[in-house]
Amino acid sequence: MGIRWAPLIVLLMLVSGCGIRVLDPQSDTAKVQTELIYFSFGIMVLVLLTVFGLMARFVKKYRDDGSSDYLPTQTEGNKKLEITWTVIPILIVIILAVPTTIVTMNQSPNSEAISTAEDSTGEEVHVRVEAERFSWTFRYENGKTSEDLYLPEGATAVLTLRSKDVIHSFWVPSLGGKVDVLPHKDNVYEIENVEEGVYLGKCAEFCGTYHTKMRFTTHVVSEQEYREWLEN
Amino acid sequence: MLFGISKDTLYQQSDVILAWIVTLLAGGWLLYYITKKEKWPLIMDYIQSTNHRKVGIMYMLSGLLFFFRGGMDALLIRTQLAFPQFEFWVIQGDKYSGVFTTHGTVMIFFVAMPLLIGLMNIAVPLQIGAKDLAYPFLNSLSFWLFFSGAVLFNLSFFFATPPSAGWTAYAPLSLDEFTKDPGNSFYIFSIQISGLGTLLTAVNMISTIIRHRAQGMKYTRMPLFPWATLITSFLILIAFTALSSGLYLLMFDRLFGTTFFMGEGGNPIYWQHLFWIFGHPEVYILALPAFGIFSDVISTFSKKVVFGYTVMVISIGLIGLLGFMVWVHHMFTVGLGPMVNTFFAITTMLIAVPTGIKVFNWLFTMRGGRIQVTTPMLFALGFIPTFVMGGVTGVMLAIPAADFQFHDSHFVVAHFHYTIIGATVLGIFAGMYYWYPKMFGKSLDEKLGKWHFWLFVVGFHLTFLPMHFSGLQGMPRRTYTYIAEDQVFTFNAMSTVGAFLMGVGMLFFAWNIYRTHKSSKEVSADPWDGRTLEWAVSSPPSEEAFERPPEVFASDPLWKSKMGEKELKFIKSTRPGPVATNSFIPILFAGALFLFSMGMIYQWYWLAAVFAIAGFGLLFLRSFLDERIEHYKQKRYKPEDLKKLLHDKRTGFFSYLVIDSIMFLILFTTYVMFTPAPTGPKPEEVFEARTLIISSLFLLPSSLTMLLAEYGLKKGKKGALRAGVWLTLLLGIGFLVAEGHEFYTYIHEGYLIDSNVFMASFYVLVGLHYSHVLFGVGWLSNLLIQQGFRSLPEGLYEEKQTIFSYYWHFVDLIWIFIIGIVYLPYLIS
Repeated sequence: MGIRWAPLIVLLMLVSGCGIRVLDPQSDTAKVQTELIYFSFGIMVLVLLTVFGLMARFVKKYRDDGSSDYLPTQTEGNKKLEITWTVIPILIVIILAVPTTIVTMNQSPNSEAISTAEDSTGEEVHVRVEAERFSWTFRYENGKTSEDLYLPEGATAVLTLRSKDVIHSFWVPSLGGKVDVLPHKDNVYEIENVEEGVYLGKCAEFCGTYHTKMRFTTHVVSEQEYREWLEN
Repeated sequence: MLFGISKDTLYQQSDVILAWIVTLLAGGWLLYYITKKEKWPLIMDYIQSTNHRKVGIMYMLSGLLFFFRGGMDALLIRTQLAFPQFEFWVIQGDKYSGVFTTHGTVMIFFVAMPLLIGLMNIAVPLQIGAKDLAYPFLNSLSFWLFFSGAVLFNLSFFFATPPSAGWTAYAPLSLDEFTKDPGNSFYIFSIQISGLGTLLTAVNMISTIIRHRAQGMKYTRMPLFPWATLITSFLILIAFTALSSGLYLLMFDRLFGTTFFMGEGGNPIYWQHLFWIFGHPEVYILALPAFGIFSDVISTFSKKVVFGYTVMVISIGLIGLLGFMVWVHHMFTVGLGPMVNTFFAITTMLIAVPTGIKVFNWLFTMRGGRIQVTTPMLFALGFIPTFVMGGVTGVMLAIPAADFQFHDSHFVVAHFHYTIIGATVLGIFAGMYYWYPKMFGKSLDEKLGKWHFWLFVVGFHLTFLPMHFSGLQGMPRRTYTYIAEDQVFTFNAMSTVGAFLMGVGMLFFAWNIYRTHKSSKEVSADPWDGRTLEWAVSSPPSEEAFERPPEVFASDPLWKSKMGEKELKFIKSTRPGPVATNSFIPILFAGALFLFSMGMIYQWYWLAAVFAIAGFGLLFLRSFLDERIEHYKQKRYKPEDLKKLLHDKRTGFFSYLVIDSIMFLILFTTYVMFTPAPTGPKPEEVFEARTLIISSLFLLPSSLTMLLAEYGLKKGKKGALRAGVWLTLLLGIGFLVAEGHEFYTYIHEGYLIDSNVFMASFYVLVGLHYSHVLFGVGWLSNLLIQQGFRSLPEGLYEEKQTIFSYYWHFVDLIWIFIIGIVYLPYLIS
């Protein structure tokens, strides 16, 4: 039954290939997220294939074609089978839970793993992100502000985000996941080791009429270009 | 404006104008048609009816009507998104926000809920051998509350101000500072009213299933649909109360200047918590009944008993339980910290375990069976792969770091449509094709049904499968366009084509219904060769179907009797059942609440006051017209029957008290969280010990006088009863005066509800308790008046008085908590 969708999935994957932004990560942070996506997707494909396979088999084999009207045996259950499909999902959850926990502890907004100004290694670029309906302002350490985000290649961006009005969400799919931008409260999010390029950024939390147009561009440029830009 | 669109106003509102024209024309034609076909008596009969099948049919019809409305919104969305930077009609900016907000809200509250509740109404009493739902009048009231809420919601569009903050209504966007027009007030009141209907339905279902199962129908013999209904109803009690409480606070923020969800003192994340404590269990409220339907359908059409029945029941329970421990997975990006995120990630993943068990049990129910691919079964077969695909993306979404990418993108849109359409909507269709004979005594056409299925399911996958990829490509949800550079055009174009295929599928469904009712082909009692009790009565069942209830000896007694194992006997009923009636009060009461809400939404408070009074007047009138007064007089029940009747009533009333307790629990939490506030009045300077002592001296002893009344009632001592009742009434009034004086003093001193969040949370909590006492005093006075004017029959008075005493003790208990939590900590220090 459901198996007929499998070719379509494969086709879609081929059509879109590596062009998909989230699946083509451009920072260490995003890479870890993408690895988790692939890892969980891999396990889930096994689950899908099992269910689709069993269902296709049962429907094919036991479908009433009108040739006989036998009465099926009324099987009320089977302890061994039921234990099997209780234990295996639990094992899958455990396998998934381990990397989930490790990455979540590291990557969650406001995690203690995020470097602060005190334990700086010199790789970090601290940027204050101010969101307001329907625009972004990025404020750099020397006080310069811009409407697009500029970062030096290889840097670890430590973003401190706050909104002036409603809740927004900061998202550059190529560089990493979202973090909400709240009024009256700072959120801190870290994106490690960004690679050179130009990336689309968007507001991902619905914030009103022109939410759609609340976009920005992220320019990751070489260290030198960044310095020059910052000083001008 | 930043991106000003200057267009002619007339054109800008052409969607609303068109809607008016179409609605008026269709309405006019409908009135003409009804008159011509002389259908008015039939409609009047349905409006007044309390019969579970008729109420169920009304739920189904209105659910389908709103389905087409929400579906049209979906098509507008998909058309607007068909091409990059496309401008379809006026569906951009706020109009688009209105469309997706309406689509989501309508589909959840006014489509999925009523269609499931409709099926519960039709099938559950028949499946458990009950005469009707436990409280038929309440059932009719529930329906009309739902319906008036739904109409109110839909009306907002006709006034060109639909709600526009998404179906989640996140604050502070949903507050008047950012969305000034009344749209989001329509959201608050319409969901509040229809939610009340849903809560009362849950009370009714719980009482029906606990108290009115046929003889021998043990819990271990109950079919899985009633089981799912029972557990769903418990989820509703908790989840919808959380929503009600949230909406109650949101209402104060929007209309009365409080700042629970905004500003320095407030907290917008608190709304998200309240919303998702409702919102996530809601997903299971929608899914579990569908699971129940599929279990019945798969078992019937595989000609096999459900595989692993006990585990099926346990897993429904586990899903329900875990459903309350996962809400933060909607909030991973909020910044609640890594520990919180990890905890909720693990609980979320755990839900996959009981859900997986159910999937395998369904598969193994089919194994070794004789699978008849009828239309209901086809929907069940479509459900398994579709829902499992939604389930696996659910597990992927449970991983917070991955969710940072998926969250609020079209990936999530794909995920929840796979689960909600995959389970709920396909379940509803399966249920409708399956039980149609029990609704109308006719069967839907199988051939058209298969067209409906294939178009809908193929269209569905074509719509939502590509959304996974547009989401991963970086397309956020709730955006009305995209640019070519986003590289999401192909995916969106596919989705749009798919959506229209689903629409065509739905037209086949409508055509099928029309054709079926044109044809005169009647159907037998048991057209599917069923296993459970509903197939033992005629199609459609008469209103007295289970006047002689069956004696149940197995989980599928009909099947076993057909196999010649044991005869299914119908025996003389030994216990009093629910009392049916015909009444206009439910529709009038819902109408009064509707107009009250209009008054609140537009802040015409005189209108609200008039219709609030009208509503209470109707309740008062109702107490005199209570069908049970005549019924009790005729029947002259024996004491043991009266005891059973009291227990029937008590089950429902205790369920109601669960709702009330949770509401107070949430308001206490609100108070503790926001007190003391960073600015404005401090509790130490506001509260006075003297007023608290006086109020308490009135209210606390009233529980003792109530006990005296109960003692008098039990021992038949009229004097003690009278003294107890009158003393309680007087003490209650004393409390109202004392506490009213406290409020008056505060207001006089300038401590107002909008002074700060502390004052706000004080007023919404203590004020709600105050209105409980006020209602109690009114209730007790009403009982005394009823006694005075025309004495209630024996048994009924005792029942009413006993139920009232539960209420009164409960209200007193809440006061004790108020003393301990609200006042004492600040009076002592």
